Amino acid sequence: MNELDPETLAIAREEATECLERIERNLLALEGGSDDPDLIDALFRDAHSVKGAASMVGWTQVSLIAHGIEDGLEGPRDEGRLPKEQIDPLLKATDELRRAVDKAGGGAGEEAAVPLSPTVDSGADAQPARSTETPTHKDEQRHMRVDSGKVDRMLDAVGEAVLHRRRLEHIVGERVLIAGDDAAEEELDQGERLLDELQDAVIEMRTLPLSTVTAHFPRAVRDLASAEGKEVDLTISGADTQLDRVILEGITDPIVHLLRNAVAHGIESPDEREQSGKPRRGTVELRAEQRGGTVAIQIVDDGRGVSAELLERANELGSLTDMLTTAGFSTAVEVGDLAGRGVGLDSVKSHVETLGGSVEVRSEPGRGMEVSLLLPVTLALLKVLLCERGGQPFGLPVASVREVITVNEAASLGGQPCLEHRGETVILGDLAAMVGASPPPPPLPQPPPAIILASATRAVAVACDRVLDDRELVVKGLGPLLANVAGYLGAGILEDGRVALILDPNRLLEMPSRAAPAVAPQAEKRAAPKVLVVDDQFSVRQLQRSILEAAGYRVETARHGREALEKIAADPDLEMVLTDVQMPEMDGFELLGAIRQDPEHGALPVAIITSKGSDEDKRRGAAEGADAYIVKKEFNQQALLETVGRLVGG
Amino acid sequence: MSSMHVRVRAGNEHYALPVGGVREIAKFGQITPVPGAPAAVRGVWNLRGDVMAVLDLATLLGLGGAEPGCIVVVEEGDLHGGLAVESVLDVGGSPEPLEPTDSEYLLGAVLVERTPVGVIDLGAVLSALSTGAAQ
Repeated sequence: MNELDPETLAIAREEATECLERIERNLLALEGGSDDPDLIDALFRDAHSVKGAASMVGWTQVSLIAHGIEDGLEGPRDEGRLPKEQIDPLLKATDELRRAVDKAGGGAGEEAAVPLSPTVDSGADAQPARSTETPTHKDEQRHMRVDSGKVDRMLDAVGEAVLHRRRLEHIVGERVLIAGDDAAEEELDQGERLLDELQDAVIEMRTLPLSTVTAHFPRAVRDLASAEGKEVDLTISGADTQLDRVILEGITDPIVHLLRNAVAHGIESPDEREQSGKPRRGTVELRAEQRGGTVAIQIVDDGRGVSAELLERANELGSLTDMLTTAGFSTAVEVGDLAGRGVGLDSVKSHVETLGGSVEVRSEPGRGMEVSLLLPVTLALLKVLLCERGGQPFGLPVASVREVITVNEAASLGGQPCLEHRGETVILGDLAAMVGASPPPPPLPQPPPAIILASATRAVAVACDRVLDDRELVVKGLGPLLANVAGYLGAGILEDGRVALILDPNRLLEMPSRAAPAVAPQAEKRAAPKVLVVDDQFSVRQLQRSILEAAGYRVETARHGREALEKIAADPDLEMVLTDVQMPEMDGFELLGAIRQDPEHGALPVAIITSKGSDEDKRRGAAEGADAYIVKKEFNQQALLETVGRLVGG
Repeated sequence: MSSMHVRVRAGNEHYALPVGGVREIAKFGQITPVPGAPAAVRGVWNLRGDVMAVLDLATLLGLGGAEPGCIVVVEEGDLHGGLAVESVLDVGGSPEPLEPTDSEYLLGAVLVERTPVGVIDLGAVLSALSTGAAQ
């Protein structure tokens, strides 16, 4: 464990600092006369937490000092009383602990705070020092933490102001124009510009660079490659590409999944690569770039790709994307170890689609594979084409609209109306029927206009009463009450105050294929085993999660025994539990006992991670029915993965 | 007299909403239907820039009745939304104890001036969609 990613280290440091603050506060409270035994318990727990986290991230000194504090508290904890004369030494030890954390974490330590940025030196001529600027280097990177909810509220308010301005223009604009009042007209224009600028500024606040989530990717890839006996380089380009915060959160898992697929199934073993004339080291590339209002994130590998035979079949059936993103594909097609290429692509697709994006897959047999995720830059503002059906306005993302046509001639194919568009047969649907409007609105006008929606692989014609114009709408969610209603990206408010539902084009594009025969028969699919990680420390949970996920497991986490029990009851997929011992609310042994007594989940494998490794702990664990032990001090990935692999048989 | 309630009329019956959960009362306005949503969902509504779901109280309770005339904006925990009702009658205390009822959306019933009044469980009503009860 010598090359932890900076993110995990930062988290560990932040957490240790929190614990330290609490230790200090509690010590001071005890010194001030409080005799609450819970405070001593809390002290013990915090010291223990710092120790545990420190030993996992390899901070030996921190771990040793914390261990000393913990030892010193053991007696007082059992007696429920901390003698006053012990408080001062404990406070001193806490200071020492803080220094050790700062040193190990490289954060607030004096030395580390020296800026590393080069000073501006514009040429050979010695410039006189600009004394006014000397002490202000910190200002360059001054950031403010703002609750994301506040930014969203601000965006709502700006959106309202934009609508208000449009209404105002609607009311007075014509009068101003007729009266020839140039000054007033100019003010109206100026108002529009200012508001647009304001709106852009707020939306920019919601975006973050992709690099905020890529930090741990290189390590995950390296670990997995070495576990698979492969040599893989990961290159990341375009990490500064900006994306909406919500989208970033949503695509992290799919990207990890695709990287894992590329390493585990795409890249061949070094020998195999050599035989086919490739360099021994495989390459996986993560590329991101903005193309207009869309961000393309591509995961490209130079591995074996899909077989020529599979590609041929895919082309017969539709496209490779369709074939690989159909649920159950991976086990349905028997093509040996190539089958794995489709694992979970269906879930990647549905994940990306809920964010208003789409997935494309390309592969050249023997040369590699390329998966592209196409995502909107922001979920906040969307360019939509407005249309009306049954008097109700609907918005369709312009990015998915190919063309607007008038349906003069419709044919029928297998009972389904369709039309000829640019040489291909496109299925024609009535918008009202496609979204399931009830009661159905009056019939369409004849001939009706239709919007051709298209993705890379399919197209559909959506007929409506009339097509209005295209515009940018501030997208609002339909709210928690309607979270279960599928088919909408959200809603936008029009100038007249009406709410236009924004349709998810992917749902409409799927319509024809629902009626068409399935691409591949649904076979029973064995998903990756799911492990519940229980620990009260975020850093430990994250660390274990990244190790397990890199090895292909699915991971759920809980902060203490009680939460773990809730998750076990709620999630029948969980196949094993990995738990810490010391936790608030309900500790690891109590959790183990509760699981064993549960008639439904009594047989769930439980592995205990303990920092002590004492015989007494082991005896207690064995008596309660633990399946395995991992001692934190000896903690390493191999041991963890071996234990988990043994217990879930995966 | 005990806790204050807003009494409303829905499906020709009387119901009481705890005052603490009522954010405001508005005239029934233009509502955009959401195709594909459960029957009890009237649609979405724009309240000063906030898009919120509006539920039809009578439909949710399995009643018929006249067209709604009011929207009562209610909240409970993280959830909020509009409840479409025929009209708002008054605000007042309601006597306790409550008689138990078998509706999952009611905390119980009381008699106010010899008229039975169902006391709405806002939490149950607002989470009806997510739990699938109203599907």
